[in-house]
Amino acid sequence: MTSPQLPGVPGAPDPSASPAGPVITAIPAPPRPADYVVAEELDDDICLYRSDTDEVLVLNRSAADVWRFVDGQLPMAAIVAAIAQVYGLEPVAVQPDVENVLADLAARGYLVDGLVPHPNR
Amino acid sequence: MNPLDGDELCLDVLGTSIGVPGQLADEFEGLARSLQPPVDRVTFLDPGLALADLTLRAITHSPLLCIHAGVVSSSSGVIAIPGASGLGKTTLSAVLVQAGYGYLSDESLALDRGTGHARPFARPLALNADVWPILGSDLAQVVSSPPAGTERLVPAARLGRIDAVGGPVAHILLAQRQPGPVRIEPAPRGDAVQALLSKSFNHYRAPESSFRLVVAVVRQAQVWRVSYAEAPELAAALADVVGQPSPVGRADVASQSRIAAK
Repeated sequence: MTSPQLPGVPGAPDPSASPAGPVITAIPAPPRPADYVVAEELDDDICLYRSDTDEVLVLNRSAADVWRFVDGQLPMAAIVAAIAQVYGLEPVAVQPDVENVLADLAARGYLVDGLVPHPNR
Repeated sequence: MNPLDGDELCLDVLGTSIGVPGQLADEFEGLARSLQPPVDRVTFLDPGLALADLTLRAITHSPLLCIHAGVVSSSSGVIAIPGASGLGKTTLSAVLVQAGYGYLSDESLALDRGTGHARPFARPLALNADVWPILGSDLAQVVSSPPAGTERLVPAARLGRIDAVGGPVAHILLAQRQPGPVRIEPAPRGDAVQALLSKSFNHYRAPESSFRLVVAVVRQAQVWRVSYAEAPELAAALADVVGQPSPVGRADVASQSRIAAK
């Protein structure tokens, strides 16, 4: 099982390991969970299920904190600010980690661009 | 014996009704009789093939969420041991039942989609000849070992108690066999969600609600990562973790065994 995690948590991916540098994908629009994703709280974690691929992904506490602010309304900067407030840090201190988590979740197909209309709306 | 369709037995298996040739009454004595007409029928007379066929047909029609796992019960509740074929679930289930744990199944954790409770599927255990020495002389006195390299169906009542009730899942063991001493350590609940869902037989019928059900079941359970070399060693070490093997007030049908020693 793979678990997106913020740096500082055991098992966290090391962005510097990539020769191309940190994998940060710009997410210009407020991200939202993909329509085929089901999320369930489990202790401090969140379990995500992709019904289209039958995959389960468990977010650890810090990644789960990021996920909880992903609602299709908050832009990246607002999510960064919210996480900074949760952890009592400056936004600049958490921004790379938050971006990495969001980029990872987007790359895995759990997040989509919030500006893309919901197919059922 | 159910008189439906001649000598056919009609068994209540995984919440559905399956017809079984009456010649297999002894082998399937641990399974409850159904008063409903069968929705499907086992066609094999060979006990081993019939057991596999019964399991497949029952899962196909079952309204329960069925997950590949060995399942027993202790004083603290139901213990689920998910695992694919080859883990040794049947041997481990047999040893645990001999140690006094209640038997629910060696094959399927059958979850009621409404309550999340585990329900019994007390099918006979297909035990290979290699297992007889592990299970000791008590078994050898009542069921003779099959020829080397073959297996024999053993009704669970020959090994110990059948838990005919089931209930909430209290413990989930993420087990693997490897050399060395028994290790039992707490594990994150999230690990159990993937383990259970990846070993589900029929969640595809309602994937999202099945996922929610699995999370709900895991949420109320303790999850353990377990490694062991031999099943009796694990059985001996388990009581301190998952509760004593003899629950109070659970149905005990072992005394109802009608099978003569083979």
